[in-house]
Amino acid sequence: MVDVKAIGKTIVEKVQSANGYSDERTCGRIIYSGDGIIHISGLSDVKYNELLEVQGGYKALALNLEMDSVGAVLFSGEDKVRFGDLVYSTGKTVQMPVGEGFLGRIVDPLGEPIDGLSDIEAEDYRPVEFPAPAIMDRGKVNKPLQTGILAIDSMIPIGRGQRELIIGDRQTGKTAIAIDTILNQKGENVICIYVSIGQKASSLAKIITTLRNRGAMEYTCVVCSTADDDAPLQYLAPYSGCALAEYFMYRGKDVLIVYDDLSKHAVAYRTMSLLLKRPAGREAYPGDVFYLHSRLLERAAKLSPEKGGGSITALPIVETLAGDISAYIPTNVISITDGQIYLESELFNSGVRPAVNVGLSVSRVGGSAQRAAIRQISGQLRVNLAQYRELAIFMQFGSDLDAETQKTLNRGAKMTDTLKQRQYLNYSVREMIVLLTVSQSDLVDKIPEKKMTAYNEGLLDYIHANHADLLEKIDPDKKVDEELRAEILNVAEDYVNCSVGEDSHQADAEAEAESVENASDVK
Amino acid sequence: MTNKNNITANVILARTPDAETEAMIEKFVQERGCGKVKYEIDKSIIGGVIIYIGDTVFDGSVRSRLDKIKSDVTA
Repeated sequence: MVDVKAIGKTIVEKVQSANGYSDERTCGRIIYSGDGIIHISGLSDVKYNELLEVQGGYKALALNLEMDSVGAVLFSGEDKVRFGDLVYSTGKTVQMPVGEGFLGRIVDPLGEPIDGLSDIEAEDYRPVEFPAPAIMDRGKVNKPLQTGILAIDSMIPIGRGQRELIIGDRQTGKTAIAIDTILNQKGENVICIYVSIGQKASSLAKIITTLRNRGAMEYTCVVCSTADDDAPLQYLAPYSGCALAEYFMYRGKDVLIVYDDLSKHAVAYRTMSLLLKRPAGREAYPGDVFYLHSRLLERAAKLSPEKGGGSITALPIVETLAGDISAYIPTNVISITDGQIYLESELFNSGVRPAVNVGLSVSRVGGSAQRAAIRQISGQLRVNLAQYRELAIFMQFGSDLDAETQKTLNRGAKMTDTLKQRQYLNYSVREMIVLLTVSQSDLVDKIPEKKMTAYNEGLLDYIHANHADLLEKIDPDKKVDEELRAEILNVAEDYVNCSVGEDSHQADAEAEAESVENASDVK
Repeated sequence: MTNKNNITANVILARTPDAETEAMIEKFVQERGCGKVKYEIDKSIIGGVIIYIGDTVFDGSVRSRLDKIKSDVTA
């Protein structure tokens, strides 16, 4: 219930304290306005990156301090400000309200809720631009951040406090990986922040619905700027999201932040820079576009135990054009991050989803944070897959193959199939251990070709239904010993034996149908 | 900017000032090193006074007080 008395009391207090209030501020007047850029004469004591207040209550950001004018970008009211309007300095940089209340909410880059729900009570305010943690305050990345995606957790492991780039062409499933990772943090005590930068409002709505329906909003905050937002808001979004993440990190919590995507962020910054008449460099980006991203990503860190041990894991996303990872922004961000997950449209279209290119994807620090069991059984994975790919290229020439080569090829194809995973179907660490153990054993030879993915899903269902104790027995922090391995394989063999029978009937029927079809083709 | 003696102070009031108010304003302005005063009447400030000296604005208008109360209460 609303306490009318308390509200009345507050108003009376405010009115009384406002009596005799006089405000001494610096001001200037707008001498140019266009494309969301204003030039102001006056404002002699304004600082770089200071928040300005334009007559009418609009906010602006001072970015160019010149001899006799100040260049600033407007966050709103582009079409409302007029020549000669007053602009006040505020003495503050842009601040982001932060607090626990932001979880489950959708806010704009200035911290205002845009989900139509109640106001958010800010526990504190943090500057959106904040120095990254000092060297001595940082700790070692030693805890894994499980994405729930087998291909990533086994071969490109991500640790809490790491910055892992997700890069690829449009429509290759970049956002899907990030969303799956957020969904997988349920019950993991990780706070997630999804920052959308210049996304289509329709795709953003879809993402938010997914997060909501799958119960991920409880621990997630969405900071969004859509494609129709002004460039300054898009520019601000990742820094605001990071400020919110820092609030939790400095309280000892683990945070996952997704920047979707930084190529649009660079474009927004390029827009602002060109309009502010800053010199253009390569691809018309301004000279400080590297610093733009490096200062953002440096703020993702793992703090030392003395500093509370919190962490920010950053998953920046960069979109490439026609697979060109040597363009300006991709190379910049690749060099800043601790590794990248490279997605390819060719793989995606041939049904390998997630379309991770294992050869080009790396994780530079996550390995040390990997759980012992996973590290043990996925050690050979990368090498085996590389061998398979090399052979697969040879196979295209159709030469006769000896038995050994044929076996490597079969195994490789089945391993690749094992790494295929449907969206929203995340594996737990124990499930991954089962799948990896089975897929690297002799058992796979019994499984028909192209059935591997279905078999894996079926096997996990079978184990959950009939052998739940087996999963309990697996300790992800210990190596898988021979006894456990044998037990896993035994269960898997039971499943394979009983379902291969069913399948072969089906396969026969299919083959028959096909041969009939072929026969009719010949006629 | 440095030599404020040549600067005219712009004073905005809601109604024409009486002699006493004028004297107070002139004293205030001179303390801040301003030689001349220019008066302007603007009813929209409701009451009080706004004084511009160069880049600095001293806002003691009723309008801005009400705005401040409004933003404090609604926030």
